[in-house]
Amino acid sequence: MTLDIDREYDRIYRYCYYRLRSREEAEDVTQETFLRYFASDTYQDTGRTLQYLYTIARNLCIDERRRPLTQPLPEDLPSEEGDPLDAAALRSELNRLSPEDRELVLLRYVNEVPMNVLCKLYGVSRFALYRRLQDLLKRLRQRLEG
Amino acid sequence: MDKKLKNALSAAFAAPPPKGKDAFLRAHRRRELGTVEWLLTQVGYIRWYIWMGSLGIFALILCLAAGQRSEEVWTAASLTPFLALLAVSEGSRARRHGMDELELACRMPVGAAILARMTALGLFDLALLGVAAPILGNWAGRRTLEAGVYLLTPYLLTAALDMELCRRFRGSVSLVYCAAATGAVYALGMLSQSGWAGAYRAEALPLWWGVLVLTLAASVLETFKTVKRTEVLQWS
Repeated sequence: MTLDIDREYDRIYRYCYYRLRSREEAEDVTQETFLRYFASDTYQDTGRTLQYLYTIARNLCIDERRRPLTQPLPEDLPSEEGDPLDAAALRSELNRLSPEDRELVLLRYVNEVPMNVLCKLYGVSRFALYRRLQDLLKRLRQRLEG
Repeated sequence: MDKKLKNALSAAFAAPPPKGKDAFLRAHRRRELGTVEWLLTQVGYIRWYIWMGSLGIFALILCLAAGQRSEEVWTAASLTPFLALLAVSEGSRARRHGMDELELACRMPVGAAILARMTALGLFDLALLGVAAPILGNWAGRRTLEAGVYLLTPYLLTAALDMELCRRFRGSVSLVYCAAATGAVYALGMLSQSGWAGAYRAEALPLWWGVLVLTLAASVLETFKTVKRTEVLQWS
């Protein structure tokens, strides 16, 4: 029944920023996502809140910027988390991934979206998703260590 | 996932801090229901006669057991299946009246509502049995834990059976089958008392514990299946 809106706001915003590459647009879309979530009486308490939020956010991002995700990740963002050298090495490897794989890494390992929600978002089986994530993780780990 | 990779990923996907977050959340602050609050809201939907019926059965158990000889106290204890019948019948009320699909249109998830109501009734029944166990144990000259096992086993057995029947049959016929199953468990309890000498002897207690564990597992499984069924309905 409960959703930590404060935490999810940051995560949805990060997801929108990753898709739109613009702070203002990401913030607008994040707020619109939550407004639609608040206005809904159909899905918000059916135990599929995260799936619903990410679906709204994704659709709004697509509406906002109808373009494929081909841009590399931005380089100059200040971050308190992790070593900047590691992040740079990792960023170059992430840029080699397909846009969908990159988004998957963001959702699973940065935004910590549960596996069952991701399976429904991507319409794949848990096993297929697990294999895909393990392959991606192995690739990123090799890059970070090598 | 190791911490180094996790931190590096967080840094790689870093986003500038949002500017309007606090103002937005202040303007649209919502109060989400906590587990206890949710449970209490659902308690209000349980019909009054279920509570009264449960209390009536509890009183009947004590009245019948009062003044009995030590072994005959357990005759009254075999009434506990009727408590389970009341709890399960409340959980399946919408399905019995053919309103379960309509409930799916409600704002709250049906599975969570059923689980909350059955949890509330289960806790209430457990409290009643918790009060009855030391009293009956004292009258029969047994330990409270032992009395608790004798009270709880038929209760859980009936709950598991009735939930299974409610899932299998729709409409008011499900209640008839549930009542028949409850009566059968009650008869089994009576037979244990009168026909099978020694069912309540101390030597048979390990067997009772074994059955209790099995019925507990069956009840949990049946509850899970009952709640799961609503999800299948919702998305099919």
